[in-house]
Amino acid sequence: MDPNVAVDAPLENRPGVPMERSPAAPEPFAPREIPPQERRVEVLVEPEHDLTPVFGTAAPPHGISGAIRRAAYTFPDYRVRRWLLLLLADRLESQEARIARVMRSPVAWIGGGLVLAAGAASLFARRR
Amino acid sequence: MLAMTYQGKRKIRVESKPEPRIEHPGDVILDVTRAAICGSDLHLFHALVPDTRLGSTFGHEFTGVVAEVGSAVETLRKGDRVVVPFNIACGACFFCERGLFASCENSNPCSTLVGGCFGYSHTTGGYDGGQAERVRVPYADVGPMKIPDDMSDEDVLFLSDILPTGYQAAEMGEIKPGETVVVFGAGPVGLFTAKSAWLLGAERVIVVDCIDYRLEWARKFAGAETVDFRAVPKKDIVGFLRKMTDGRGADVCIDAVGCEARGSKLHSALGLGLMLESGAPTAIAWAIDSVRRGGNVVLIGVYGPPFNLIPIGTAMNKGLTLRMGQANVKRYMPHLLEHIRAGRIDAKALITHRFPLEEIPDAYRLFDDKKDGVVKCVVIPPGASARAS
Repeated sequence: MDPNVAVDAPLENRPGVPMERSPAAPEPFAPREIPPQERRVEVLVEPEHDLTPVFGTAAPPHGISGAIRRAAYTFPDYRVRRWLLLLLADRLESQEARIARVMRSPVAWIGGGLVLAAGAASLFARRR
Repeated sequence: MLAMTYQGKRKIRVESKPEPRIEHPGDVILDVTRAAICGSDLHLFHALVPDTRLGSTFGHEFTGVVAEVGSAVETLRKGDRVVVPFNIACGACFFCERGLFASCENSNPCSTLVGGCFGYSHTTGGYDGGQAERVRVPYADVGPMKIPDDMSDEDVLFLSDILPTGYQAAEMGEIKPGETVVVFGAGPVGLFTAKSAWLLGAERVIVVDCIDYRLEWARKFAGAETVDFRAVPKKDIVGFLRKMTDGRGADVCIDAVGCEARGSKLHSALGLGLMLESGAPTAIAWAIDSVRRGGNVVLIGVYGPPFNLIPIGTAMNKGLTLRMGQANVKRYMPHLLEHIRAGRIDAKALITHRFPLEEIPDAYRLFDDKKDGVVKCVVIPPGASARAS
């Protein structure tokens, strides 16, 4: 028989038993007072809660999707509408990025210019 | 610095991003040496987790070398090699004091569901992850564990998530000697769950999946019996498992798949196609149906909000105990480090593919498609080979 089988069968060998550590105690080097992190970017916060002392700074909200995210964060996370709005914002942000990519493309500008020019020429020809 | 960035559903790229900086006195900045792609990263990749924003960097399984140290950090010095739990935890709040590091209330301002995590959407705090050259690590005196000099970064990389997650899954099953455990999913977490089930005293371990090479891994790496749910008569996996377990069902059933399970056209259509539920909860439904009355069901695979259709009435009437949650990684790291050192678990063996960070889109595609026998992909940032030992 594999000598490793059941090596953690005794409950005292299981690090997560009981799941809630008792007595409760902080980690040895955990900060007792946590100074607040400086808020350099927009951070959306769960309503009726304070900003935590430490937070992530990735990808602040922007554009129309950002406006929807801000609206979503006015609802607490036990409301389904909050998550549906966030899913909508996620999809919309992809479309915003697609439009931005197109707008950055010189081909799009040239193509758009040609369409406008053709339209103007056709209008001019009709009036004559 | 180079970093993986999310660009929308099934789209990622590698691009240059500003270097992370010390944002708080308790932070360190790491030069990443190894970063793994997790199965749960695929849920982000498939746009199944709400508030996954474009430009975010994924990656919650990584090792690194300390490059910058915040003014309040006491335990780490520049040059230390560390492995970092995916949970971001303060170590002293109501939940951390009780060892529930995944529930820290001082690291995630964006929701009350869970504490902060690296690289896992704004639902878990909006932190950039470790699939990059550098990463910011908050609460550096609490989470990171120094890597022993006699061990390599890859030896301990999976202490950051999948090994503690698999172990905690088995532990939450409250396995007793002589019991039968069914693990749904033969991915990396499922393999570690099955391996851990033996350590905890299981008499019999059965792994269910539908991918041949992964079932072979379950047999060879985890020593488990295997069932291909696509090959069972009438595709009745629940009935098949009951027959395998004296007609009553297994004592413990564990969902190590999460929200992208295959096997149910209904759930795939509702959850993955129409998005009317949060992914396909097929594995947890099978677990509830397959376990014996009074048995334990464990959910360790990841699901996002807001809801899924699961047979909760069956669970109630069978008198089941349901246990679930993100792993409290820090609690398990020292114990599992000893299992690795003693040779009981060869965690590194799951690494089947290594990619330079610059090629991470290929790694995601390979991992997503389950091609080339992939079990676990590890990415290596430029210059990291020299830093990792």
